[in-house]
Amino acid sequence: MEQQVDEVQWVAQTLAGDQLAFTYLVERYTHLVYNHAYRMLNDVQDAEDAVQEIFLKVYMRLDSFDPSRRFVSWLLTISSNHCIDRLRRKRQTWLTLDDVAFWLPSSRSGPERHTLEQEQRATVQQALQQLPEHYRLIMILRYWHELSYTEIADITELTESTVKTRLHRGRKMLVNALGTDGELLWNMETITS
Amino acid sequence: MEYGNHHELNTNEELNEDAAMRRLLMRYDQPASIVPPPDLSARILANIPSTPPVVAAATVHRRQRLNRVLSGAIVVVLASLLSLGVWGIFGDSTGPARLLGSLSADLGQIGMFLVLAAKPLVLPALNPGLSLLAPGVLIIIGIAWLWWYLVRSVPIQVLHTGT
Repeated sequence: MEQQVDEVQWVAQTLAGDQLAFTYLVERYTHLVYNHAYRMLNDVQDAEDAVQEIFLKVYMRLDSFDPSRRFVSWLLTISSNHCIDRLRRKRQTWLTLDDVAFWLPSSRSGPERHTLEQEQRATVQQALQQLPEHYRLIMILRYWHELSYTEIADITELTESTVKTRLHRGRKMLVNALGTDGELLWNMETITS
Repeated sequence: MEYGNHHELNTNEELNEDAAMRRLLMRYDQPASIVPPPDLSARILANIPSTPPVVAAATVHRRQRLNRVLSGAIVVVLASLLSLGVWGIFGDSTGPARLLGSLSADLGQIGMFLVLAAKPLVLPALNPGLSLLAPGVLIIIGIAWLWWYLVRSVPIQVLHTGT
């Protein structure tokens, strides 16, 4: 609650011309927006560019922020719409250097465990990319941002029942995208619950 | 990220599926957070206009409106010139000038000047050599469209998983 009060105050101060207040908002939410953009876009460079564009949009539209709404929900609404627009534009591009330079050796090295974790994370990240963007968005909001159905409905401008339906389908799609291992683990998890 | 709550789950099936998905993700070491580059906040702030948001937004809107008006004006001028050129070639070159008054009047002379200036814009299209090129141009446009259509229809995930 205190956090929301701070944010409303920072928004008001920024609107009054205090640039430092916007700095606080950027510092608080860069991590969140960057993670959201990375999950949606699956590319660190794209995510960095998107974060910069998102905050510029946020700044320009700051006067449309409704203080009765949570700042983070408003921010995620702008971020989500921006990422979906970016994905649509990206669909019209051909292979990027990253797509074709997969044979280049990675500069990172580390213990075996670290590599295994990286691989597992990459598995989910790649599986997530196979979901249609609206399902991916809802899955990210639910499982990476830990948002409630109400908040997801607010951000995506859908009804709660649609959110639930998309989550249900999204889970199935993600399990399918994870392949045989994912399906096996899913069956184990649903049996134990 | 502590700002969520889950008390709206109202059926056992939903609850179970939701919990099972969280456990499944945990097996894959997810949800994991990735750390943004240390200078990202500084780069974001460097892009922010120095004027207050309302003033900055108004400036951008004004610029966009001006761009729209200018683009519209360019289209209208080009279309008018082409029309004058067509009129000058297929009809009477002095027609537009006469509409604006006599050929000796200032406005009429401007009209005449515009017709004469517009004629070279239309003439190349009537060149028989260029008309022979038309099928080739159409084929190139068709190939470009096909390329664009195929690229657009390839889902991004296919490109990524393909690596």
